[in-house]
Amino acid sequence: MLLKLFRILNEKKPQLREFDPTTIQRIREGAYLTKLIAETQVAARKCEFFAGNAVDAEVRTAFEEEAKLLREGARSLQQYYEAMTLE
Amino acid sequence: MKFSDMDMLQDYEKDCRMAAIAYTLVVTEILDPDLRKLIGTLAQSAARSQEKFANLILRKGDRP
Repeated sequence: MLLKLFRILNEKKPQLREFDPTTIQRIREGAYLTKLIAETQVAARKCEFFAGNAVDAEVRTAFEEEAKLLREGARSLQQYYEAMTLE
Repeated sequence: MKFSDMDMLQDYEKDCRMAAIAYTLVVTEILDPDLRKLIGTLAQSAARSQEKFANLILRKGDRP
């Protein structure tokens, strides 16, 4: 009696789609990738701000170079992410 | 708020250190070989930046 009731209740719940482990792994990789892209872009913006704030010319160029490197890194991650979501 | 050059160098050196650790940790969670290689390169480049900024701090008369 009770078992029947639970079965009826469960039937009304939305059914979750199950993914295979490979797909789950791919989704996790995508999540890591978006996080890394965001963090790298924030770091690049920080470097640009620091470069504008620096008094010493040597420190300013170091931060400018670093910002450029970080932008390149973010771009390559972005490209990989786009290639991944296209397929 | 105005940061001095040394404040910024110290702060960014710490950021690079954390980035190198984070990238290395993420690599272990990735299985795709291409992505593994890409993130591995970024981890190396973060470690290189950390070294560069640590040397700059030492040259400016402080300790990282």
